[in-house]
Amino acid sequence: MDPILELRGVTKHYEGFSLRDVSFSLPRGYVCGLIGPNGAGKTTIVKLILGLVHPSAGHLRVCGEDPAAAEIAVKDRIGFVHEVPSFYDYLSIGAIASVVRPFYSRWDQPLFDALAREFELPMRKWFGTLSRGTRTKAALALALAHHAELLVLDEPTSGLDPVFRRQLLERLAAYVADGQASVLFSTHITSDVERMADYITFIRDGRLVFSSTREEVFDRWVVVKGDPGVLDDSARQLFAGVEVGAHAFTGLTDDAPRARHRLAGRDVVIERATLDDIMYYTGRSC
Amino acid sequence: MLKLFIKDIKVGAIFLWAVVPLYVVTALQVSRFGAGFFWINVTCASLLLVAVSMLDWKNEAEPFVHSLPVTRGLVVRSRYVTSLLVGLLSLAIGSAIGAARGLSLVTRGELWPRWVAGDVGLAFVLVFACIASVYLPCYFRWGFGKGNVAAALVLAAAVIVTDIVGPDFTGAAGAAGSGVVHEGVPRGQVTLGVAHLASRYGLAPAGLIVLGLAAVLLTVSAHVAARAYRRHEF
Repeated sequence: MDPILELRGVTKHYEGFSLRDVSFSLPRGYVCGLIGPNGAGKTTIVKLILGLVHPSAGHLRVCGEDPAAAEIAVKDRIGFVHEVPSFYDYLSIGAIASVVRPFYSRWDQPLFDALAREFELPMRKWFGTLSRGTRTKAALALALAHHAELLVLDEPTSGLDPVFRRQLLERLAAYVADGQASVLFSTHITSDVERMADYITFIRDGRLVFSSTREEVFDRWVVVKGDPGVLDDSARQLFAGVEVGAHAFTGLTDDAPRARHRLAGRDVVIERATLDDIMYYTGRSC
Repeated sequence: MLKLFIKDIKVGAIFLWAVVPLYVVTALQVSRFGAGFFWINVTCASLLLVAVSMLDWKNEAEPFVHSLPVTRGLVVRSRYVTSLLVGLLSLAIGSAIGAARGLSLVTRGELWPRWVAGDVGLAFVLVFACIASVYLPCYFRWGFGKGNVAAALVLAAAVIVTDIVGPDFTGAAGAAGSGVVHEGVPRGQVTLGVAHLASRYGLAPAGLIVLGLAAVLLTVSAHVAARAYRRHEF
């Protein structure tokens, strides 16, 4: 089956920042966590998918179509939540829903009403008076209510309380369960990705570091800790990033078997890397 | 396009309750001073036109709007349709208040005012079409802030140019652009030109010419605006 989202060599130049040659894909029925430090290019990727910015080079396919050629048909199948949901501040959520509803061919009003109740949305309050978390909930209800095939969420869990964050992640997992819909969500809260993402795409300084299944990521990436004396030139070549202290070093590698083989018998501890480790140590000077 | 037009209506409707009464009261007051009423209506219509764009800008709603199943071309075209509605609404309010003032003058034994007439209404259509044709491409090219400044500069230059070359076309050259060729017609080369056209060919043919001209202006302008907006990023 065609992937629901495919980026091939996508490049986007801005003054002072470039997203370079990014390629990854997302099959139907899965959740992809897009991670990276602030300014890495996550929001740029989201904007490229939604057609808010144009790629300088490369190709995108969304729901099997070129979004530039079939913009309306593609967007009809995408649900979105922007990092800072901005609608018309003086409109109530109910009024915003009535504005959004006609645009989607598969809008499901009973579903929206049910989501509004579930998320406890104050339907009559002005959008501008809502907290960031409630705005995100409202945006999520709008995104879910038209049976989108691809949900694109930019930092959806920022500003949410832990209870709703957990609910949201469970809802997203349920959303993809039928194998037809997929979710791409960018975040810097790596625990959310570790909890529920099937695929993990890591962007750093505008470049793709990796895009793999969660299992592959956690099988391959390990953190090695030990005495700095172990760090000879050949050992340093193992690491994608390393930090050396007075009494110990911590190195990160994406080749766990090689690290275990090369460092066998040395005074080191090898343990599975967390996404925080990967984000932190990648690119640290070797 | 209809969906975006309805979106503009829904998003702007809440303000009509504040804007329209204000507009009516202002226009009523100004209608006491005769020909200046025309330009107050043009000003109010232009402010309404700008206000529609301001709602998107002020609420930072453009990323939201463009994430919906729309294209940039549709957004541009629907904004032109909304502008037509704004123009018609302003024309209706202006005509109603002008007619009311005219009736009150007639009942007091005075003549029907010259500034409430079909050719003046046509002139309003043409002036508003000119303003929208300049404003909207500037807005879509440079956004709300810079676009407003650019549009104001272009329109100011257009007024100066038409004041210089206009009398040759309106038949007012001999009167040194004093606006007295058609007594009582609001001042300005466009109003004089339309009045001249109507007196020469009749109101209906003049109406066709003016509406045709307005349609051409808006069509060309929409094309320019769509091209300018095609590469816009959010």
